[in-house]
Amino acid sequence: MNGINKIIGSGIAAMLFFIQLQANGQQLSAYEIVKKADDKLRGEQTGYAEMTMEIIRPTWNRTVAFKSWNMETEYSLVLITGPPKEEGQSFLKRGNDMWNWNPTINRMIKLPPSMLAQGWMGSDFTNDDLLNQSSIVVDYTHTIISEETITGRDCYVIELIPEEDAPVVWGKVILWISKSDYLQLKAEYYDEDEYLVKTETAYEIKTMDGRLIPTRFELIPADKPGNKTIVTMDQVKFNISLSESFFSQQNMQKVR
Amino acid sequence: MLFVFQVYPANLTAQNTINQKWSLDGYLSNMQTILDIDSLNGYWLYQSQFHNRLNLKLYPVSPLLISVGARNRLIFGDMVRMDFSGEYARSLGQEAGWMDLSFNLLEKNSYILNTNIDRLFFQLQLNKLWITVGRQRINWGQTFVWNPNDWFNTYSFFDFDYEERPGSDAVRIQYFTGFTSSAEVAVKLDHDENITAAFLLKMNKWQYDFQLLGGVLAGKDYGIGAGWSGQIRNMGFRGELNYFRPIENFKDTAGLFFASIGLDYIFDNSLMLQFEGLYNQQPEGSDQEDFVDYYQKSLSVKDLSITEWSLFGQVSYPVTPLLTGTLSGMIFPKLRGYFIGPNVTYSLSDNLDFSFVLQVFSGEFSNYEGIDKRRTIHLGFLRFKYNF
Repeated sequence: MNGINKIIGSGIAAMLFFIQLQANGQQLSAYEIVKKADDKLRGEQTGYAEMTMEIIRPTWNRTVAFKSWNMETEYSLVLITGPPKEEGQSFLKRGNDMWNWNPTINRMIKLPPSMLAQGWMGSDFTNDDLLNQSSIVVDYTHTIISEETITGRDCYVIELIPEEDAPVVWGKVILWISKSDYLQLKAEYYDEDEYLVKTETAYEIKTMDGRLIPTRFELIPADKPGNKTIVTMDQVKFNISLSESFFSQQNMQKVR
Repeated sequence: MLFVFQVYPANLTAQNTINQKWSLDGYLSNMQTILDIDSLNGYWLYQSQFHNRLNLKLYPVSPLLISVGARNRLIFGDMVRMDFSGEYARSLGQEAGWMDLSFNLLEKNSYILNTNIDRLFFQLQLNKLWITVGRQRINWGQTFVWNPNDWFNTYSFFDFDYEERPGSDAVRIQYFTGFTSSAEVAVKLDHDENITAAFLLKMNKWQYDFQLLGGVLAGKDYGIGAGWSGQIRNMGFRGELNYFRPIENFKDTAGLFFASIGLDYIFDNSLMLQFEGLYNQQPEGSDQEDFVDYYQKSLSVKDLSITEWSLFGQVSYPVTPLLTGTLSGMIFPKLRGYFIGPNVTYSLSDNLDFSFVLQVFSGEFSNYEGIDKRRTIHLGFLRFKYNF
């Protein structure tokens, strides 16, 4: 059981991360620009991704790789493809129910809601961020504060200040969204005292499945030098043919 | 210190594995064990083991999966050296299953090389119907420590170095009635050709998994059981119940009742707490077992603990993302006994782990004069495990 919460954490992080990617995505208001960027990867019925997540620390690195299938926000199936110790484990989410399939012991484990609150191996992505991403549209007031060039692309710099009673953890968020394609290329997250907490930067903008998207994300915490989490999208597909039956306990046991 | 830096070959995994006809994985570990009975100042038994596991899966044609799993162990140390009667070597070569697939390839004064094929089955995945024939793991457990519902292969909490557990020589037919429900039948033959045959119905309702099972256990008992996994608020809540009654003298015997109930919770800081209780009704006039027997033998669901009531608690915490510390404990009230198992696992690289595990058992047992005497057993393990 020792490793189990770590593994379960990674599966959940994978699931949530994909949901976040879906949550990330023409003269428009600041609100509309943020909405466009948000819709860039979201708003599709189904999606598939192969991803690698690297945790980089001053004295060590760890990597996990997974495949992820999604349908709306209700259904998700994640298969861990590396490292070998965790390979073959799968996670299924159907509404509020979640399961873990462990091929080593040939067992289905129903996960309690408290597992949802888990992070992964000290990754700089907390589940809280991942879960709250979609609220960047709804929970904040958006203002264009300037324009800057990020990796050769002209960007709007948009300041997000949370609404009075919004359930958000940030005091302020600043987003850099490209003018031409509405790609969110950079984000800075500040706490309530306006101190920078972390910076997320997107790189390697590529066409994947006919859509221009960043395929590499780096998250750097402000107060921990040498710490970094890198997520690489190895493959992405949108609007693939999936039905509810794909998200079954049976498929968890055979998906490859 | 071994410090192998492994970069996981992400590009390899990005390949579509669906068309691959086979896969091979496993691990290689070395574990040092010390065993001490009664006093830490006595003579320790020392044992070392290289353990290699191989899992081979073949996908020759579309609905067919062939799976072979083997554990190869090179064992040396005091248990082998002092095995003058050959009993220890024989116990390694012995099989609980119908097929005899455990082989002592080499049996010398100082070492034994054993190979045990513990998975050997083919599976037909026909739409909603799966048929699995051969040596396989059939795991019907819902709780984490004691599993009354796990009629086919019971899990021993203490044997942390063999989490795969032996397989059952069985035929299993599963029908997936829905996305989260299924009906299945399994029939197993053991070494003495006793038949265990049972059905299992699984469903999901009100965010709970429920299961119902029934059949014949090891040719001797009729049994029925039920299990569940769900939650109370954010806490995992699981349980398993069983009732067995002998086929012989069915009318004259009351039967035996078994239940395990568990709670688990993970805090925001990843601290994990688990509790479990077991009620394990024991036949009247049965002898009190010793810890050594309890530890070594293959468990049956009718014999999950050495006392009628047992309680378990565990706290587990990742001190750093690489280092996890766990403290487990059990209480056996009837023996005024306990088990304490502190352990730490450190991730040396993506694929290499180091573990240090202690297991202490203590309880009061009647000696041949009928006087209660405390016995304490200490076990210590150091393990390096490389996964591939």
